[in-house]
Amino acid sequence: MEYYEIFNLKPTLNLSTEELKKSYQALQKQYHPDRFIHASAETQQKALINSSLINDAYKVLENPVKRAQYLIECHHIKTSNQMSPTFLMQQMELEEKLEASLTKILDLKKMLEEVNTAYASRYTELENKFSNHELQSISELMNEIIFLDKFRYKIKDTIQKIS
Amino acid sequence: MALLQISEPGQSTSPHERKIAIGIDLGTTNSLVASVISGITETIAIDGQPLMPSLVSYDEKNLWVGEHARSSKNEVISSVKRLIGKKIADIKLENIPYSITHQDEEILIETLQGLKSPVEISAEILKKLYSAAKARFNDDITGAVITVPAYFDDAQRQATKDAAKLAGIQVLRLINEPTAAAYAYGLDNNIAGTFVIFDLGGGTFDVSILKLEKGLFEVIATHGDANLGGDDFDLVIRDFIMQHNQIDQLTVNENRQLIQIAKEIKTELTQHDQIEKNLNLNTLTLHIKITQNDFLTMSQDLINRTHQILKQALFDAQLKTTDIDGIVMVGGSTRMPIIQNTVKAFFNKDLLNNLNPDEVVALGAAKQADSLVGNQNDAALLLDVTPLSLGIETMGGLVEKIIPRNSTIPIAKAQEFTTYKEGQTAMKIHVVQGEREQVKDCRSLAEFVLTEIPPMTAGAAKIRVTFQVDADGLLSVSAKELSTNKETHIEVKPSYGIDQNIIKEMLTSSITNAEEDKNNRQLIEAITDGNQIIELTQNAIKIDKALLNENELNTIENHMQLLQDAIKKQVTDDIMHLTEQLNQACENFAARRMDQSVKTILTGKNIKEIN
Repeated sequence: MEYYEIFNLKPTLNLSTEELKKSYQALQKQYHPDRFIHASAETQQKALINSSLINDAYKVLENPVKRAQYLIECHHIKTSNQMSPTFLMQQMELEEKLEASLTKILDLKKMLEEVNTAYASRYTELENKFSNHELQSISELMNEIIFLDKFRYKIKDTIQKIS
Repeated sequence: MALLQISEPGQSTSPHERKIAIGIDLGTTNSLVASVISGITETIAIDGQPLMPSLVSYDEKNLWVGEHARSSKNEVISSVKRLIGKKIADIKLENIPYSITHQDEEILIETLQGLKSPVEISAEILKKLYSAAKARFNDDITGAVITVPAYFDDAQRQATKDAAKLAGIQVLRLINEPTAAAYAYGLDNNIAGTFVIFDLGGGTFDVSILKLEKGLFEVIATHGDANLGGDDFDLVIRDFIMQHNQIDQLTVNENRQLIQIAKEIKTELTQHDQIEKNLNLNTLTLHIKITQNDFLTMSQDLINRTHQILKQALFDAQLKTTDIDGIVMVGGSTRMPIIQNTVKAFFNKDLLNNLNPDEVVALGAAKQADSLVGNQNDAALLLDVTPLSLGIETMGGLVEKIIPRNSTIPIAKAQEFTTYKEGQTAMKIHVVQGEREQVKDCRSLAEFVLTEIPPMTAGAAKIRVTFQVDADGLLSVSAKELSTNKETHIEVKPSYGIDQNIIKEMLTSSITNAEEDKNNRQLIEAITDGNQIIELTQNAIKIDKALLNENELNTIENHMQLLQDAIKKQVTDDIMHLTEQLNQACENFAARRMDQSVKTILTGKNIKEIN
């Protein structure tokens, strides 16, 4: 949970990105090596370590998927690559659909919307599991979220390439 | 790991003690030095000019830098920035108009005062800039911020820093050129939001997207083309003139003159809508008539390339054109109206171009320097990113990315390694830079061996290797054996610099490697076809050599040899062409063999039928 502690935030999946950002900026203003140009080598080294840690922690917490993965790791929840056969089927259908609509921008945009919706509903489910402390069965859900997140990036990439 | 306690105070901002710091834009063509003087950022003149050409020349005793180098009548060393931090294999020797040699992999320039490294030559340029600043401020300079292109890799950054040290300059920070430009605008105009830095220089093009907010400058994406710049527009104008005057060929000298003419026309077109005049080129009289519209039409390919890179940078940042609050124009080439207009149209927004595009980088560096030494209360903080991913080689020549590109610096990442043999006491670590999956497609940055690992059973030793990229973007590596807590610091001596073209290639290839993979496939197919026809021909000769006269046999064997050579050299077009030629050379031979086999068959049939 140290990443949360650095920013003085409660270790929850839901967090205010505005608050996180404010805290990040304040900390970098305090610890960035630029602030220690005239300081001793030892202090400069400490500033470098702190500033690096703040950057790393921010990168994880600002991203909803990475944040969830980090929390799961902190809770020592067992994870595996397993996914339900139903979702694996859906996954294959999505990949085929993308392959079939590579040049059709309207289809791609519609597909992106669908995937975004699927991602959002699963993420809400994840939030509920966290707030209800139902953490043991979270691994499969997390894998689905990771897939959907990557997949929507892939659709966006395709859209960007043809437009 | 929690944050470390720092007892020493940060920036001291005692109001009476004002420190002087300078910003240096060490450019390929021109260099500048600037400083904040009585609250105003201004350039410091060198030989009476704000821009100093980045030129150095030597005779046996003397040294000239800048404009004096140009007029010294000695061989002029130019564009040394293209060599700094590189090894000999990275550069194209024919593109360099002065003599170059090498010692091992290190590039050395031949001068009348002996061999000089690019770092030493750059140091001479920096010394002249520095002494102009020292003269201006009575020697009282605390340090300097030096700018580097956003794509400079570890070796190039390190070499630039070394050059500054050699020039006796205290380097406060290396910052990216586009970042410096934004910094100049950010503070001058007191703006906040998301900005695109459009930097079109003489030979390079860079796009950066920055977020400016409450004193924070965050670079969220950078992209570019190391082979696109104002010079390409000169060539487009040259081609236009040649086409309209029915010129097919030029001598080297005429070509040089015509490019110079084209450059002048390009400059005139920043002021006028149309240029019409007659000019002499040796014996030829050229009629030249170019409108702004003509210029736009002939430059369409180049402009499309700038648009592609803008799109890619926007995509990396996950932004739309409407998310952009402003566009900062940097580099002399952005003075072209066709560039101004097309960029304006691309974003549907007015441009920030009220600062001199040649000076804006140096001005930003000066502001940053002033802020770093503590002169500006509530100074802005500049957060920059890594231009290329850092990774290490894993089994099977694959790359494991440790620090992805566009990570905010400073950044540290630790990775644990273990031994795979009984009693293993050493381990090799290979650090690479690039975006591709395979080590061979990335650039080797450093290779080192961790030694003195305590001998244990395989997999028992745990070595944590920490990769640290500091605020200058420079990499250092340290390693710790966890069971014994034994720590080693490794000085990463970059083994290679990266050629700008290779960086460009590495960046674009990760995105568009479909094209490259297609080319690879074509090559493989061509080689397969080529080898197949060679094998068929060899077999045919073995069996039916009698069908060929000596001359024909020689021709076929020659063609086979040529094709085999081309396959060795792996040039797709040559292989395809020579495969076709061999095919043609064998045409008669194949026909005769066909005849013969038909005869045999017919003969056989006849025999059968008779029987």
